[in-house]
Amino acid sequence: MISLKNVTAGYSGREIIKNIDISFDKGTITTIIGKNGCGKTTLLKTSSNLLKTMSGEVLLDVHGKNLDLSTMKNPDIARYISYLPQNKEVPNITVYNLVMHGRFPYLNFSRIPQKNDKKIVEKSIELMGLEQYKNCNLQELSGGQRQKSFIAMVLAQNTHIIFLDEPTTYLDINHQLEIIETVKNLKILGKTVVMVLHDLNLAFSCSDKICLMDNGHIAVHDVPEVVIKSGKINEVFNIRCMEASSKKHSMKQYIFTLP
Amino acid sequence: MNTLQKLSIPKFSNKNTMSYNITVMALLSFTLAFGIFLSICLGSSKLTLTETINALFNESSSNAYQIVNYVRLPRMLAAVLAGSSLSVAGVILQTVLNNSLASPNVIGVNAGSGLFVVLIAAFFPSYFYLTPAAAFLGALIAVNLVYFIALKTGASRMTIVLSGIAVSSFIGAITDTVLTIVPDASISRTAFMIGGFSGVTMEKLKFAAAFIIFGLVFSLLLSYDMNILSLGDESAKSLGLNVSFYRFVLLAVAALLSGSAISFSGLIGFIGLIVPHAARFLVGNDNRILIVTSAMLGSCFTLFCDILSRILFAPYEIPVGIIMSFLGGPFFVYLLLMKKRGHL
Repeated sequence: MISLKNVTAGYSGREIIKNIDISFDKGTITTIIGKNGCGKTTLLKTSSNLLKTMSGEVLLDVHGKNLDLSTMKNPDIARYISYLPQNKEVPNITVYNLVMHGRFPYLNFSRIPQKNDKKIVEKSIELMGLEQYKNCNLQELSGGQRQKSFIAMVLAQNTHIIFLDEPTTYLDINHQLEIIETVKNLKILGKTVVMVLHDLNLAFSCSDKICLMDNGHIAVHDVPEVVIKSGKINEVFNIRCMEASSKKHSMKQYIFTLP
Repeated sequence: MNTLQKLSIPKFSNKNTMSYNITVMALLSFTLAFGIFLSICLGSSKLTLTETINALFNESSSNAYQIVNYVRLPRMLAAVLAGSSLSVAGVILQTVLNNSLASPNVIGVNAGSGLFVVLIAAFFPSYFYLTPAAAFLGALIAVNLVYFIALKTGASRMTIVLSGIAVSSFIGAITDTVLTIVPDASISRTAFMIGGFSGVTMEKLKFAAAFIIFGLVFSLLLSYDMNILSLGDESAKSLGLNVSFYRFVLLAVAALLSGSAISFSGLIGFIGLIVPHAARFLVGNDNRILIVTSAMLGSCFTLFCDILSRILFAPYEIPVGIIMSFLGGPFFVYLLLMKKRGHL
């Protein structure tokens, strides 16, 4: 579990998220939603220690002890927390080499991967269905395959907590659903997944909890049904949200229109 | 995708198999060995092969012994060391600054070490053995100044190059002032600016060589971390890399390598820019392979340019910097055209 206690953070002295109190429970999927510029990515970066807090603390539960992230070393954090940014450099390397980078926190000074590292990398590639592409150059792949390769890298990092910043953006619907399926599998494996999504239907369909942000604050953080019922979605996004029921599928879907 | 990555076209990256890399390195080793052989055998004085070999292995007072041991051998070593160190410095700078335009001369490293070399020559000529250390210090100050300015102004690829130009120009003005007010400085201004290996002695090389070998080994040790760094700051940090610390260490290594080379070779053209690109063209972006390939390719290129500079108009000699620019410029354009990318 990871929790933020009264956290304020931002860039160049400007506060983006203010007095945030939130916990992400073990083995759950939490999706952060909100308007552009409301602080979703800042919250994700602060939670993963990529951005230092201006005040407050981020506590990581390690074997029952709450450790302050700011006092931990980068390699130690990287064994507990992984973060996949939205905008990534696409290096001119093979899928296999990229996924192997996920093992970096576990490599010793020689930086030579051991048998176990190779096994985990192969498994991660297999889990993402990338076996046939593993020797392909990343730059030759489609956007969806690239994103899957990056997620395979995160899988190889094998951390308890996974932060994904807009993992489905720019992807076709098939790849979007595949990635959401992977996220659900991560939950089954006991991982804590926190992600930012813009597609509200995807967010509501796969998350245990939704964190709706508005102007640097948390408007509501609860299970999807409560968030919908609270009416905060309509308020924050300035839209109208309607439930669309289907007799065939038990899954709830929503239609969003301008008010 | 950054320009650096775009420049290495995918159809060549598929050659990135172990056997392909070994073949490339074997060919480069052979070319380097051949270049070393030619560099010792050829020169303005015509020596037979037997004379050269005798001079190498048997001490005597013959002219051949003097020429081989005091002129050709130091020159050959100087070319190999300068070529490899400037090329590897280029690879490091391009990776660390994530900028395909970065090279020792573009981002102020040459100017910084040049100033400190000139300061030693002008004010402390008796401490000439400190030249490599001073050049390193100058390079380190310059590269950090450029990086600091770029960071303050957004650290985009363009601001790094622009602040490099500004810092280079400012430092260049100080260098020119020193050379103007101390005309008796024990350094030839033109020769230093163009760069070359005439007059290189083992004495001068000794200190620089130690720095360069240390720098090369160290950059090889950090090559995997450089791969992680090229994923971008956020990804690298989330993988546990201390990004700012490694960036500073790598900039220091690049400064050490280029400063040491400049201390005896002068401001050699743009070898640090073109060789890394050529090497990337051959073996792709994995720094573990790229650093070794760049070092060998840089040594070969510098060696052959130096041989040409000695024999083209023998007994007169053209500074190697001129030959490098004559060959390197069109070659770089050829590389750009091959990659079907009209701009950097």
